[in-house]
Amino acid sequence: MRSADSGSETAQTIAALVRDAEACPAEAAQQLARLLAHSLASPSTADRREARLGLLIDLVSSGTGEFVRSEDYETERERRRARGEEWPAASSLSRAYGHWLTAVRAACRYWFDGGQSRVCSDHHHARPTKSYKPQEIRSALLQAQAELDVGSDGWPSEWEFYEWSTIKRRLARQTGQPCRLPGRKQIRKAFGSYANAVDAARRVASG
Amino acid sequence: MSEQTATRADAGAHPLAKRLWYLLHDRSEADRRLVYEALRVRLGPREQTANQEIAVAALQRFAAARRKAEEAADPEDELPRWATGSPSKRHYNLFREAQDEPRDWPSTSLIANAFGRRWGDALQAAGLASAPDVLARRILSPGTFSRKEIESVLRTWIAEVDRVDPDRPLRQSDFVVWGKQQRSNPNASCDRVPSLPTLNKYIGGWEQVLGAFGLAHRCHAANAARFDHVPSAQKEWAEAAVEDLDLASIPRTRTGRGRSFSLEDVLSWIRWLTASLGREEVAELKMRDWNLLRAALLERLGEANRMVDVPSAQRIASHTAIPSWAQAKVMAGCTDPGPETANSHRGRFDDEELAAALAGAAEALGRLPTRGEYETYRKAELAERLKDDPWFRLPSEGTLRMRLAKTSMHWNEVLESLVARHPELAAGRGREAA
Repeated sequence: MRSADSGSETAQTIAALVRDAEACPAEAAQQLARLLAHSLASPSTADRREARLGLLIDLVSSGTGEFVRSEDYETERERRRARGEEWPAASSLSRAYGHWLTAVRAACRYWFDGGQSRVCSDHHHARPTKSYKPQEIRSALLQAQAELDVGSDGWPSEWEFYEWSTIKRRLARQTGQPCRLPGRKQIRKAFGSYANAVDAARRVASG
Repeated sequence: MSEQTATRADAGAHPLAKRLWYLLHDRSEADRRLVYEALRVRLGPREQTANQEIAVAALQRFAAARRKAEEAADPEDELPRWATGSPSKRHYNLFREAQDEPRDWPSTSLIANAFGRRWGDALQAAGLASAPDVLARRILSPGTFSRKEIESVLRTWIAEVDRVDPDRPLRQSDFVVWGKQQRSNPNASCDRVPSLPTLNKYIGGWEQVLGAFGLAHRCHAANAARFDHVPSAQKEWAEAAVEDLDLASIPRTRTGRGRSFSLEDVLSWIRWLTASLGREEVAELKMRDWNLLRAALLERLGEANRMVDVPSAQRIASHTAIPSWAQAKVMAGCTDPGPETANSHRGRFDDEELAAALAGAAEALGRLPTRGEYETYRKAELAERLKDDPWFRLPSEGTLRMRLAKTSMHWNEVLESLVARHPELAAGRGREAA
């Protein structure tokens, strides 16, 4: 994770605008605050990948073609810390990708093949898990409905459900808690489509 | 744009919020955080308990110390650990222990407990983190289209076409291109343009869409324009034929979007044409001729603004209950079944079908057939069987040679292949050779 820098001139101008109650109505301010809050709390996959692999990618890109050892990474990490940059430890990378070699391979794939290689921010999702039962999926949908507060008749959209489950899984992983929330593939395999899964959950909810 | 905006089913975002969001959403985290912080201060804190106030004050002092340490640090110096990274519990503890009187500062437990044992909520209350708000995207959702909005967009497009040429055919493909231009143009006359599936969902097919504006004839003109390359003699024939058609008795088939033609619908169109043009003429009609007639007919109907859905030849031939175009005419009673109406459907014969056809001929003859004998047998069999079963088919001797004779296409190779599959026929082959 890189150190925070102060906002640009554009951001400072916008900040001055939103502070002014006459220039920016309360409704606009509230809506913008909600949108910004979510974008800050839920960084994109690319942001997460950069925050995690950024230093390793730098080492791969500027290296001599030799394998980047975890010791070299730690040395560089310490050097960068002195400059105010914060990067994850080698052990964190090993944990996120399963092994140090896998982390280096991910950095190489991203550096040499680019976005096409679809390098993830971690490999937690690739670990074997017990398959989901339909009732687990229905429960997850009911949980999302309750937590997102969309009302007893409303249901989160497909995007909202996946976003919510991604955030929940990430937070659970950070705190070491178990979290079983199905993704797209599991729902498609169990119910055919998200709409069918919602119908099934609705039937359960209506008794 | 104003009319379109007014017809929105769900006008979500405030225009200023939307504009500012599009300026900010791709900017750096620091930029977004700066604006968010300004908004958070402006919108004010929520009501807090005494412990929450203590926790928030401590976290804000911690954040101020981090900022101060960062600003004061020389490039050569190393920052204290608590001033780097995110304001985590661990960093707060390090900071607390580094103070002269650590006990003057609330512990991480107190802070987290004040917010339901959630450190993240405490950071949010202090403005050091933001909470995910999955439903925030709903603010930007433009909502679903309404029929009124779709009609408004279509009216704008038609007006733009008419401004250049009021008689220009209104083509679906032109509308798609115009829609793309609108989407990529920030000063476009429409906020958004419905896709073709959306038009179909709300109004119907392209003919119905234009029919809703009384402009069906301009759709059919576009349809007729597809036959520009056809020789004029054929087009004249189609126009003359359509003049002879009895439009008063036109079949009433398939109405409403999303409905497919039933078998009876399709056959009634062929029968109606037979009644007007005669059995012989319809028997000779090829798919291309049918489509030519259809285009001329639709143009004539469009001039009278009559909305009639006439099936194309491709749609007839691909109907699930009809084996082929030739069979459609047989089923409608325009032609008699025969070899020329068979086999033009259902794709490739499989090996079993080929072997069964030859074996059937061998059984009927009591020996392996010659090429000529097989063709005679096939014609007789098709004439007989197609009366009862329009799906019946038999491969021609050409197909058999093509598929079973691996090298030379000789009939003998076909027979060898058959004998390899049915050794019991080998005796018959011996007699034929003798």
